[in-house]
Amino acid sequence: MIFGPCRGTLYGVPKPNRISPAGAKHVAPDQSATYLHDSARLAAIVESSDDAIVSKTLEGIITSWNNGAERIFGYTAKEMIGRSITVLLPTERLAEEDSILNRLRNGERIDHFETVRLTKDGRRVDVTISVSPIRDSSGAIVGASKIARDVTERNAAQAAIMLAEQRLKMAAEAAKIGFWERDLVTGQLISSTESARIMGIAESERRPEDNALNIHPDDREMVRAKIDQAIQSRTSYELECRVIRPDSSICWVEGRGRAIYNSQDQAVRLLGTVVDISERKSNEDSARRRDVELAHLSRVSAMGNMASGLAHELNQPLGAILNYATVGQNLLRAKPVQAEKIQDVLESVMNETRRAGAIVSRVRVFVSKQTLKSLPVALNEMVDKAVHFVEFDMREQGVTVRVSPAKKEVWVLGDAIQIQQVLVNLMINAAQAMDHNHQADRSLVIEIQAVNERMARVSVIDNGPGMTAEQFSRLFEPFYTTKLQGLGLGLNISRSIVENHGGRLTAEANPAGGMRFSFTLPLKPE
Amino acid sequence: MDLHPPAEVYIVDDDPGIRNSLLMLAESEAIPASAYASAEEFLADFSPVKPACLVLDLRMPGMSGLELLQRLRVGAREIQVILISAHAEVSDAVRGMKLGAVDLLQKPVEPGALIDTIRRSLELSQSLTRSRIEADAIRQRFDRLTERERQLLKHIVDGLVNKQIATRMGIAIKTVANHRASLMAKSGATNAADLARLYTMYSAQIDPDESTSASENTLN
Repeated sequence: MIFGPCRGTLYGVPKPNRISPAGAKHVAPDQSATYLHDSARLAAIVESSDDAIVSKTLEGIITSWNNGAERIFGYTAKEMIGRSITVLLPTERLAEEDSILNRLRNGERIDHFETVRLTKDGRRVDVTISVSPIRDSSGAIVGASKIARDVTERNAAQAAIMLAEQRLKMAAEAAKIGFWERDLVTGQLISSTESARIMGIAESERRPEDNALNIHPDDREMVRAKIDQAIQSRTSYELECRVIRPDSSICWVEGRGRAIYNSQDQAVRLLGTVVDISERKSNEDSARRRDVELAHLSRVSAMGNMASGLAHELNQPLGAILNYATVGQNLLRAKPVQAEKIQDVLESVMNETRRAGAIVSRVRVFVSKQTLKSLPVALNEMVDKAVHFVEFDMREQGVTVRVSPAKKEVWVLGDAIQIQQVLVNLMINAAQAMDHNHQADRSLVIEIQAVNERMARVSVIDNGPGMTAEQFSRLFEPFYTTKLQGLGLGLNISRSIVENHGGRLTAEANPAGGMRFSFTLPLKPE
Repeated sequence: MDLHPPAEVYIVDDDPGIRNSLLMLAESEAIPASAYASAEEFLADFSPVKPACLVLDLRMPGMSGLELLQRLRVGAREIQVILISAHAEVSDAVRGMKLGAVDLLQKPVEPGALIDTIRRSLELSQSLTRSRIEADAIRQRFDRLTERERQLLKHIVDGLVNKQIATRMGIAIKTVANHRASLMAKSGATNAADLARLYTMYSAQIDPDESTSASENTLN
């Protein structure tokens, strides 16, 4: 072999039975020790490298082969030294070697060239190759050193990451989820396209500034508080807020996210997602509006049921007023006029007028159209009002109503009118059910009690004929009714009202006969 | 208003406003009045001795107006009942009138009309009471008659003269005349025609069905 230096290990320590490296003979004895020392170190490095380090002639004949090369390609040094490097080349890449050798001859270096090589057992491995020319002492290129690194795993990992990223991107696009990331130190914000779209930031102007700027002023405080709380408690946050778009339109956004902490436990980055939920919000809104409308309609229709009772109720104070007025006239005609008695009569007239007014306003409130409120409602008091409301109706039907209040006033959260509506509805139903039977004793018991620390229950218990199995099974079926008049929606509406309040409406047979309808409502938190 | 014997109006209504205003209305018209919140409360306090009129609400919790009316018809025939209803149901009105109510007024009741009805009812009750008092007196007198006097009475009412009666009874004409004088004195009748009238009233009390027309003639 003419290219001595390329024999054996590239930087190998020249062994006595081997030809000395090319330049060795020119090295002065005093320098030789240093040289030998350096060579030994280099040789150790080469041998311990994970990379394949190989030297070859300009014809491509392998002159050295380290342990790394053996590990990657499977051939031993013994097998490879003296053979052409092309053994490692897949057929379709044979041309590569010529081009590499050509470039080498021109003194070029080849850095991190990615390619594929074959192992002894025929496997293909992804490698990056760096090839540098080797010159003799005169500077002539005599061969090449080649470092090959197995990047199969790295490539696979990269491919997997890319694939995962692709999938994530596709999923995010399909779900219309926007990602964003804020550097809590610099304040820099990075938004995905979708996030920028949702938050109303044009892609061209993805500003590093506070994205809270676009949040509806009424929601800003809440958003800040929720995020701060999540950062502090090291949990994730979930919120819904409104965002004002550049065109001034309002968009509902659902945001989730959490912070990333450094080793000093400081939150350094905030990662979050945003989803445009405007459509869902508007559906919710219209569903809620429909519920409110339906509830209103059913109140108006319940009012129809109660009309005769109400007319009677209103006639009472009116009749009394008429009587008092006549008494007043009589008293004025009497001699001497008794001013004190007339005062009393006028006082009574005023009281009766107020009573009539209260009836009218109760009706007006009951049939009024209003949005759903969630306020503390005193249950005992509310039940009394509802009972008073149907009192005349009940009397007309010969029904006695007895209220069994909770020992201590129970406060629930909800809409007083709607809760009253449910109760009125159940009482009217019960009275009508008892009417079927024509029994002498028609009594209705309204029971109020706190069930546990979270819920309260109101029960309407009648002593009517109860229900057949068929009636019971179709109880909540819309448009099913046993009455001549009525849509068969009352119970359905009552149930949806109760469920909207977070409670349940149930029916069961009363052991003593008749039915027991109960609904639960969440207690107002202390 | 001259009310003899003294009469009173009773108000039975569960609504305190109506009850109190009716009470004051009656008093302002100088009509003695008492008010009750329920039929039960009224019955507990009521004794059918004087002329009275009852203003009664048809629909009340507990005993209804019609039930009370039914009870009163059995025990107190002279009390006059005015029914008040929220929205008169025909069946209630018919039942009420059949049970002897004088009138059925609809709420809100016109006070003037109600007062007129109350006055008429009280007058009717008074006249009925007077008749009853008179009838009671007659009965007491007739109850004192001996067997002989009763036989004689029959014959007189049948239009027989003393001679005919003497023959029928198989006694002397003079004896007939003596009995007759005693009969006239005991019954308080002025002549035979008067005696016949009193007797009709008396027998109506003993057997009302037999002489309804006679009793009606007497009362009107």
